[in-house]
Amino acid sequence: MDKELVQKALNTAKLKGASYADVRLVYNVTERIVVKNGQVEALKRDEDSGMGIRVIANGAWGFAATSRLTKDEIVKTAALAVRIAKASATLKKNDVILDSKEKTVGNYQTKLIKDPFLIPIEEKINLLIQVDDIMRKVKGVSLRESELSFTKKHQVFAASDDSYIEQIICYCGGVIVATAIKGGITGERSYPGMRGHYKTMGYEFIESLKFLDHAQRVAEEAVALTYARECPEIETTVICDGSMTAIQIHETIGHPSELDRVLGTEVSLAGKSHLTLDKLNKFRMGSEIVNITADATIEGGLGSFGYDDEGVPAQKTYLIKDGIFCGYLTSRETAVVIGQKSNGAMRADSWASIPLIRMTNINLLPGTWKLEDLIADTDEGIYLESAGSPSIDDMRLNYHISAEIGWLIKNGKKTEMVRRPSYSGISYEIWRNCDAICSEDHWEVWGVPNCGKGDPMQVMYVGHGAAPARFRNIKLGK
Amino acid sequence: MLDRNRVRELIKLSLKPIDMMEVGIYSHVRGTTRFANSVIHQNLSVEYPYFWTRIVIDTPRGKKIGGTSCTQLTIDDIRRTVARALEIAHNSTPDKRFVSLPKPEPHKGAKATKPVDIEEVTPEERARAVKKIVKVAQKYNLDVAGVIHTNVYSLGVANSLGIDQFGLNCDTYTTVTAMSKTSSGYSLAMARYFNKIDFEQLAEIACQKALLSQNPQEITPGKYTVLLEPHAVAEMISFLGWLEFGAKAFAEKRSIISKSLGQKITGSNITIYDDFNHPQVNTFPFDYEGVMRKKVTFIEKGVAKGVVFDSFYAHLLKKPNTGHALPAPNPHGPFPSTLILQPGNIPLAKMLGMIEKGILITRFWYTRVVDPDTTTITGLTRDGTFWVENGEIKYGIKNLRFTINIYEVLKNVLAISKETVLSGEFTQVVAPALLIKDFEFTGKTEY
Repeated sequence: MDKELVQKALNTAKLKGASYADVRLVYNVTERIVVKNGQVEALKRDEDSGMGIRVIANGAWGFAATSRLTKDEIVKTAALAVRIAKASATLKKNDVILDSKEKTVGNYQTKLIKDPFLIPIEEKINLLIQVDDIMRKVKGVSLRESELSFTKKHQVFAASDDSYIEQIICYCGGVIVATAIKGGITGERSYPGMRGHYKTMGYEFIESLKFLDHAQRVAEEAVALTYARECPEIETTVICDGSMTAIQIHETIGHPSELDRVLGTEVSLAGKSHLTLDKLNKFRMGSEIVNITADATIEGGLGSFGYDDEGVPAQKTYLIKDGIFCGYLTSRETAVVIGQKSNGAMRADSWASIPLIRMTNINLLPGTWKLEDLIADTDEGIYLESAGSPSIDDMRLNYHISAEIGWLIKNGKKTEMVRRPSYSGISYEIWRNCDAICSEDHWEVWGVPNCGKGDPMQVMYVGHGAAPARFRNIKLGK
Repeated sequence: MLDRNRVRELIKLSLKPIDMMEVGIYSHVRGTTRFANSVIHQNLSVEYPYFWTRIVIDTPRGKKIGGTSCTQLTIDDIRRTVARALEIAHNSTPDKRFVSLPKPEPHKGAKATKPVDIEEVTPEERARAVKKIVKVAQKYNLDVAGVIHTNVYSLGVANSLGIDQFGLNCDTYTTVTAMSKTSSGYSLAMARYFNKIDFEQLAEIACQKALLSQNPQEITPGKYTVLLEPHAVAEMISFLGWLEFGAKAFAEKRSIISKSLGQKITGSNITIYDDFNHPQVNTFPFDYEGVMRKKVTFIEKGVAKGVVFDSFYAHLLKKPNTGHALPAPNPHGPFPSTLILQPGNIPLAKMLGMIEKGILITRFWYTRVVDPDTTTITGLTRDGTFWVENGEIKYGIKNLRFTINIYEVLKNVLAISKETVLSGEFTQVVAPALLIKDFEFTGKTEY
């Protein structure tokens, strides 16, 4: 990566009047393979590179980015960033103040055993073709689809405080999906997790998913769903599998804990948050067994990294302790408002995007239950697997989450399969009604590769450590 | 911004004597100014070019296809990207279903149509527009947030069979959210040109909604008569675009329309079509395969009529290509470029007067599919929800969760406004306001 270009950008920004500048020079390569109904439907490799320059001038922010990595273009882009900041400054109340931070110099690289880009394409296609063939043999399956995707991001971050950080992060994941259509009813089943699972690992992660071992079950359950009755609309006890718990964390704890939302700077699109500043360290968000961390240091988590896009080292902090809301996800600018230092949550999805406060790995710490004991301990309820689509209001209170599949629980046993289950409620109520969490043996850091935020929309990789958990008095259905 | 000559030069350089090859260059210069708490807090300018190629190699067992893309447009980078695509295509497995990239259409005029005057907007101009918005909000002692996007695009597509298209375009998109301590109001404007946007008027609309909805009252979820303003209508209709109006869902028999062609699926007062020539929309006249767009009617007077196609699905289902390809490969298949819900003949101003008891809705939020088999979606109201009695807004109400079957809702449309508005987040929707009976709310929230 070109140190000279990076320095040129910083020097130009300073010369043009920036009091602070940082630069991200990013090179991304992505490979995506999709097999559908036995045919390779997509086989594509994308390279995406450029430089984003963020500055403070006249006490306000400006940002400009270019993919033309020549000295002349970088000078032009840095000057434009400063000009934009000066335009911002014509409508400010206060100067931007960042937390105090020592310069950071470092390197970070995803620990991987097998570089996915070195695995032959034929081998990867062959895996998906084999999966497809297993699903094809299950009578009643109408559509089969499987996908692998890999991204390697090489980024240099440098700032006018002499910080210089180089990171290489490898994102890896995949999904298999079977669909059965019978008489106007669609049964769809996927593996793993919430329609796919992703980590910062190498190809060894794909191997660990053992797609071939799950293909037949996935296809059979898709067919069975077309015969299952619709989930009843009742109030009952819900046991969420790990991936469902993960999406519950994402929507009802992760997003409302973003301090930029709380301070109103995302209100025009993503919305605000009910976790207002007066609730910090006071508000009961969950039952006493609910402990939530933001932890970017977990090896392999999809939201793991060495340093955020402001050069702040990855950290582990608590958002909820013993059920009490106790922390936000912060940036260098927002942390100052609550008298803290950034906990390293600022990330951009591209060289062409500005960093925003994003979830890292937001985790529900494990409890003590075995899943089979938890089901056996439940007289009546439902066990839900594989999160579908969530919907939640702009204050992150009223949520609705659907699952791919559910099994009614009666007298401590999983019984009848039901299709299109969903549940809804108020976000703090469900966590206050959480009375059991499964143990570390069931705990997994689930990857969400498509967390959206910002305007224009940025799509971010985030993770959620979660085990199956039980929630009482939940309203099923619409 | 890349001009026609530069795009042609790069495309010419890329095209190789291979069985079939497609090359495209999309370039986007985006200016964005976001404001919140009545100050500018995010302000940026980005030039994002995107070169892609798709290579098709003929084999006795089918076509092998490989694709690559890059954002570096140097000659070396493009050569390397093309070489990689060829390598990937060789390493792929044959696809028996793929027939051909599109060929030029026999009639002439299949070139990019009338040139568009391009308007580039400076950060200073965007900042001045925000100041106008803030000034209006300050008059009412309200806080204001929102965004101004100004975009310039170029798109060139060519293939080895003779397709050769280039177009330039620009647009602007502004939202305003005005806020009191207990309420909010919203307005949105989309246009080709920045100077066509009346920023003060936009701010005024958002502020009036925020003022009117202060101290909202709670109502019980259930079925109500609703007046959906155009932005709410646009969001609902755009879900039909995803679920129903593309050839992929049609070919896979997943959509209702795939089983109902020629049958009545909504009320007779509903007609929905795609037409890039509609005066309110603003898209390239050709798709990402370089095929000219055609007008497609999805629903006419309540009857299911058709869906949009790209070259792959046109060959697969032996139907005409309607020019609705997205960049290949993509998971959606062909996709409507515009959705136009035909207006009615009732002035919007009179529609409120038609409500004895009901709800006025400004917009929806976080709408998601619950059951694609029935086009059931759920979401929430936001930024201006009002209780209406005897034709008058009585007070603001707390936001509600709706869960509806879109086609069933479109059977219950009592009146359609004469006026339409350009809206839509992912696809452009020209929407009137709709007065609807028995619209179901299934939950409530706390504000």
